[in-house]
Amino acid sequence: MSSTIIEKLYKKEPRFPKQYEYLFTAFSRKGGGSDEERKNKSKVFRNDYEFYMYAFFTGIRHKHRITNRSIVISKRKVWNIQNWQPQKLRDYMMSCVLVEAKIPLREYDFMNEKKLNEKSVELKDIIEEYTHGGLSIIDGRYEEDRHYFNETFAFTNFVFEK
Amino acid sequence: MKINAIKLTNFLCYSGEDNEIRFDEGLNLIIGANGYGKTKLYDAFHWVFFDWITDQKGNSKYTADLKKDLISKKALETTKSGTVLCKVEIEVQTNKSNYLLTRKYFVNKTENGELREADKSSIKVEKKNVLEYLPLKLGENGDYKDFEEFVNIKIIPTNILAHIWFQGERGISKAIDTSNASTLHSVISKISYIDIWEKYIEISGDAYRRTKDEFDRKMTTSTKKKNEYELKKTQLNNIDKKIQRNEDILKNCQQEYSLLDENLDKITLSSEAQDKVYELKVKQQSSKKDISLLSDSIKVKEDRIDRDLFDFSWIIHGTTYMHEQFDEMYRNYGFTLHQELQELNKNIRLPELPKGSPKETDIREMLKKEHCLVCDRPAPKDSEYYENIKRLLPINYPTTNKQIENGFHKKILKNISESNISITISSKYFQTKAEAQQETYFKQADKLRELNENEEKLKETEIQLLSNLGLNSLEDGIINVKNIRSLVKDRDKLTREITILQNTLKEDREEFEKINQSIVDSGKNEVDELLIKKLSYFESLHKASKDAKSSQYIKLVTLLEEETNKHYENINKNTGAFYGVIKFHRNPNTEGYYAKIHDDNDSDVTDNLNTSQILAMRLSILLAILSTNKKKNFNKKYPLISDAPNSAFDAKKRLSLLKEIGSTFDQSIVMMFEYLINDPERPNRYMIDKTALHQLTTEMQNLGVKINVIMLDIPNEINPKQMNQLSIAVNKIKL
Repeated sequence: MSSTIIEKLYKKEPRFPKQYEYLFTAFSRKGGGSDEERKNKSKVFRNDYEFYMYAFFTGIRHKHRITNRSIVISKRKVWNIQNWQPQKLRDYMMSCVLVEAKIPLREYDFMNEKKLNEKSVELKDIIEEYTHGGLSIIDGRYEEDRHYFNETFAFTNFVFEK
Repeated sequence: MKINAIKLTNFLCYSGEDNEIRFDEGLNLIIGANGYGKTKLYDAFHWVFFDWITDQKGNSKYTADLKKDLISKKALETTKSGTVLCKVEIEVQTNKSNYLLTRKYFVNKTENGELREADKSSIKVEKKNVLEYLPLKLGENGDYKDFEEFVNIKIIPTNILAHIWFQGERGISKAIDTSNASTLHSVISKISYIDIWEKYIEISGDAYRRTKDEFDRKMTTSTKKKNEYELKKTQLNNIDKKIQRNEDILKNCQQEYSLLDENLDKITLSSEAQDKVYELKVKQQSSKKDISLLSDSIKVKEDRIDRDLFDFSWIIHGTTYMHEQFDEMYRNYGFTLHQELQELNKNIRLPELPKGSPKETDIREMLKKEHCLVCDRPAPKDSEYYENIKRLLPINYPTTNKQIENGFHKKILKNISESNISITISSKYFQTKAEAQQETYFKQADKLRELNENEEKLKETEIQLLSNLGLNSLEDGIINVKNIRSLVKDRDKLTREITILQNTLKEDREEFEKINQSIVDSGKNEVDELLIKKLSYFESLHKASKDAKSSQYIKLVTLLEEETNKHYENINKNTGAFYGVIKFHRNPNTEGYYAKIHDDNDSDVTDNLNTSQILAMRLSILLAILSTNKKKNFNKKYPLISDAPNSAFDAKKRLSLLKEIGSTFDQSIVMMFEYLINDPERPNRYMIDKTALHQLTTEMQNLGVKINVIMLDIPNEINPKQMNQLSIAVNKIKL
């Protein structure tokens, strides 16, 4: 039996533009060692994929999708989507992508393996494009005020900001 | 005794040989800024008389401890090689003679700069013989056993000196400890001739005992009353033994009590102070606990800050329109699937079995049992019969793609849809929840800030309290309080024991007197009447001597108290501040007294007074120790030498103190840093404040007290920061 479009998409590891690598370094925990660990403890995002999801939903919230494919992609890994937690958010993310793909869901049932593979790449692109959009918004705010995200509840407040 | 001069050669900061200060009668005021050699001058007096100086912590440092450190750094630096001598000479004048006391210490500096230090200093005493000083021999074959004996006999008794040479507040407290009852008791002996009464008591006691022995001898030879006398005598001896035993116990108890009292004084904290120490400790512990709990709670929140973005899916806020669209897509998917299946079912017609054929279920049963139920014979698998039965099953169902037919993505999309519902259902409350959480957090953060501020205030209170109570730490305070409470408990127990013993002794003494009197009465017709009278006379004399000593002691305490209050009033009366009256409190269990300050309502307010007032009380007692006994005239005989006795006093009180010292002592040498102002012509140097000094000299002259002012200066060319260059200039001020 072949895999569903979702299962195929789960196996993908989305990327992001290299230019925003610094945001991941600044806000998401990575690495080890005692000093590093202490420094990391103050960071909001426990993994790169969490910050990735945050950026994706920021893009979705602001309906900001950047489709520029000629950018330099970061080599920083954010894991395959199937490893992302919590699962509910991962599922919600999938539903957003399916909506954005604008393909009636019944059509996926009729796609053969090859077609499903092609479509899963397109869906991954959608994730990357909204994430790109979200990252550019976060970057904009960071540029405006370097201390903004140091404030308590900054990332939560940024979500609820009108 | 009068000090005529002191000459310092390479002693501490006094480099070179030109450091001579000549003193007059009256008040000799040595004025110098901090670091200009006042304390070193005071040290010089001490070094000559005792071979030690006091370090900053108030400990005695002997020559053997200090060695080369006694010598001027400049002298050590400038001497290329050879002996570097440090010397202090004091010219002393007594009623009969003039003496020159010289203490020396030296080091040898080798060519390569190494220092070879002598182990000890040497002291030389010279007596003036018309024009020149001739050495006095000290030691085994000398005029005096040692220097200490010479000083005690010819110059000043060292127990008196301890009360009139003192340095700063610490020195004053050391010279007179007003909270220790035994200090004032020992002072009484020093200022009076009270010890002579001990002699009277001893002599009268001896006379009485000898007469009593004679009486006893007569009575034991009397045949008439011998038995009666011996019986009473035995009773008397038994009571006497009991009295002696109890007196010994009482003495031990009183000694123990004094010791306890002394220990208690050393760590004494008023009950109010004890409460404050405990209260503060409890507040601090409670504050620490609150801070710790709240910090933990905030830390948990801080660690969780923004985590609810994920844990409660707040991250999807503002994107729920996507869920609505997906929901619609999913519903369309389900609808399409349903439609298609219905259409499909419409087109499928299942083939029917030929007429007369067994039902499908029966056919499957026959295949399962491998037996034909129609012919009732076996039909084993792979046999012709079995295949014939199998052929009866319908085989022509339409072939369709089951995955497509059932909706290949149906299950996963259903899962996604259900999951979405669970996280979007409360999405409209996300913001309210986030705001509420933030409000709680910031309230707690504010509370923590408030607690931390309170903690800071408690720390300030602690510093203030420790400073006021002279404690190193609050823990020390707690230990002190515990010690005090334990000592107070022991003291109370001892007080009860002493009271019981005193009562028992009183009863026994009365009984003793009664029996004794009956013996004497019974002897009236047995022994010579003159002997009876003699016995009675010596007994009365012995008793009267004891009573006289006791009343004399009380009288002396009253005199000392009165004299102390005169000085105390003179020092304080012009200040305008409260000063009250000093009262000596008798310790009921010993012969000692405590000095306390009372207000107009006769309440003891000592614990509520500031350092200045306590210092004034101690200084007044010190002055009174010397001035109370007009016959002994200590204040006229010996000079007071004090460094910074006025450190806690304001200008008015300082003036009063100097006047009091000047009018009490025939000679006094007082060092202080007051009466100085910045010298406008010499940067970083001082000059005499002539206006202030003029007021002092005028007032002293009005009192008929001579004043001699010496200014200690650092020459302009010397950099005071370079210890190896330091030297002091001694300038007499013309008034």
